[in-house]
Amino acid sequence: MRITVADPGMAAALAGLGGGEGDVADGVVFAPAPAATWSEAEDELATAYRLAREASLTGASVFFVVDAAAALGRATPLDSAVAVGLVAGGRCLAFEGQRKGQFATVIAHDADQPLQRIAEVIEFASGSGVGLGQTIMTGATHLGALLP
Amino acid sequence: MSIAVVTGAGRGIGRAIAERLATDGHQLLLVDVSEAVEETARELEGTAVRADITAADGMAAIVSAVRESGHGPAVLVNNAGITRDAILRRMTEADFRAVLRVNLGGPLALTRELAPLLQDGGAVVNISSRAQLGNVGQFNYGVSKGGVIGVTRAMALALAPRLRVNAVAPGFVETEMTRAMPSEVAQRVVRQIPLAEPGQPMDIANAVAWLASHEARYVTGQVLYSCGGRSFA
Repeated sequence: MRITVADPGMAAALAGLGGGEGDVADGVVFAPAPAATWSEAEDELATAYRLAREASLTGASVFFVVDAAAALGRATPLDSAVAVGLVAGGRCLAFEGQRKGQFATVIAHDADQPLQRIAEVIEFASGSGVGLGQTIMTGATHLGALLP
Repeated sequence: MSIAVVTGAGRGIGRAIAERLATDGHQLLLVDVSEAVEETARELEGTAVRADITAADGMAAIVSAVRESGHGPAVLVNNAGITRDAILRRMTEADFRAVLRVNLGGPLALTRELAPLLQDGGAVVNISSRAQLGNVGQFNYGVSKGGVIGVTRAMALALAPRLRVNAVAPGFVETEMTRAMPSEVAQRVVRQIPLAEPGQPMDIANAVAWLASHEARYVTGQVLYSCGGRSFA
């Protein structure tokens, strides 16, 4: 899989699935870096667009990994914009790709959960097809909150 | 005096929002990149600002017009938006970025600029879209309108308790743009709507007006879907 993540710890946790030079045809994993400016936020989302487009050309699966707090709106406006933008992007990809069997989903990772949990979710979702177009939470921070 | 700032007010949904807020007694400061905003402002006795919300000089022009009014606005409606639809494999990066800048970067920047100037108890209403729940050929639009919900939530927390920030997510609304669609496509879309008809711009304006009003004083960080039930059907 092509793994494009800014956080070195997350990259290490996902190394068993692939790496920065991995084959897009095997799937794409993208986790945005925190953004301090609009320009950085736009660039993160543009990277997601490029990877998703590459994946769509081969029908490969797409996983966007976002921070759970940001997905709930409990972060800076820029980081929440990127996170919820990718939640919506995952839904649009799933909608568009369903007819050709393309899988897309979003993993909203809780900071207090082990990073290995992300790899476990990717392996499970890839194997089962569970979570198409959905946001899969890895922890408990969302309990009692309305998901976006 | 209660001032309402509305972006994308030249036509369509933005114009309807302006009309409705004028009915509610707001003085209008209407923003659009198109010259149509000048006619809307004349008809509604408001002030027109021709400005591009993605450009620094456009943002400066809006802030300057607000300051010149001498009053902090009570309402900001971030409505300006564009579409550049295409299935993903045919979508260009330029079209992806263009949609993001107008639909997401614009509201983010304008809210940041105007929040300090808004009256205590004021309201920001962002226009998202039902399309952020998923649509074919709208990856760019969906990302931008989902992003608007992220901004709405984060800013609702950051600006509370002084200001409220909410969003309206329209579904299929009859505008110049949708009237140009082939009728069989439009009919197919309408068949998916439980209320069995397209929305009208004033339907969206009414939702915006309620969120902007004192009646919604206990509502913040929320998304109101005005889509005839299409969000779950």
